[in-house]
Amino acid sequence: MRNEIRRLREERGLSQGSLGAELGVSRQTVNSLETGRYDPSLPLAFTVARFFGLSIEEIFHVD
Amino acid sequence: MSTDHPITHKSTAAWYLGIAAGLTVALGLALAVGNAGHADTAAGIVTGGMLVVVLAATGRLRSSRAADRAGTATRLAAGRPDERDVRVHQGSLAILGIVSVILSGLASAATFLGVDATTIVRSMPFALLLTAVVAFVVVNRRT
Repeated sequence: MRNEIRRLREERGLSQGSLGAELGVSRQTVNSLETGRYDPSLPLAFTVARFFGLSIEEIFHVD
Repeated sequence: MSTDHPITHKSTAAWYLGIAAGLTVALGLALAVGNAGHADTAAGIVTGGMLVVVLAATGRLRSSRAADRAGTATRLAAGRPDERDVRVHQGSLAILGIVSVILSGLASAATFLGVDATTIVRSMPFALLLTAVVAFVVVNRRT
């Protein structure tokens, strides 16, 4: 699954660590999300969407 | 349909309980082995048990003081994993489970071929530990 997390994070000038702290996950988890190695749980996907003020569909795309 | 139980991480009490249970098992096993006349092995069990406890405590301290630099294994040992850490843990345990079934089958077959059963049984924990470490590293890198 592709996602827009890296672009959205960089647009806001956040580091992976600080985004992880906002989302309640580790820096490694943010990195894995951005590189597509890890698909988040539904609660985390909602947390990500809520943090960026977007819908889940606007952030995560099925390949 | 809805749920009312959000996913929660292990509490502090559960972590201490886990450590206490691990220590009890290690000390009990060491006592039993020591009483059976294997003092060196008993000492090894105690040393290994204490080493695991020290590593877990260090991981817990590190995950709270330097959370950004803590790795997956550190957070798991500290009882403070996030959801990816849990996924890595479950994935590596799944591999370990499959390998343990295969290894036990091979070990059983080996005894019929004349291999010393004691040697097999005593080497099994090391083989499984090695499998667990390799599985964890691979799953962690690929997740």
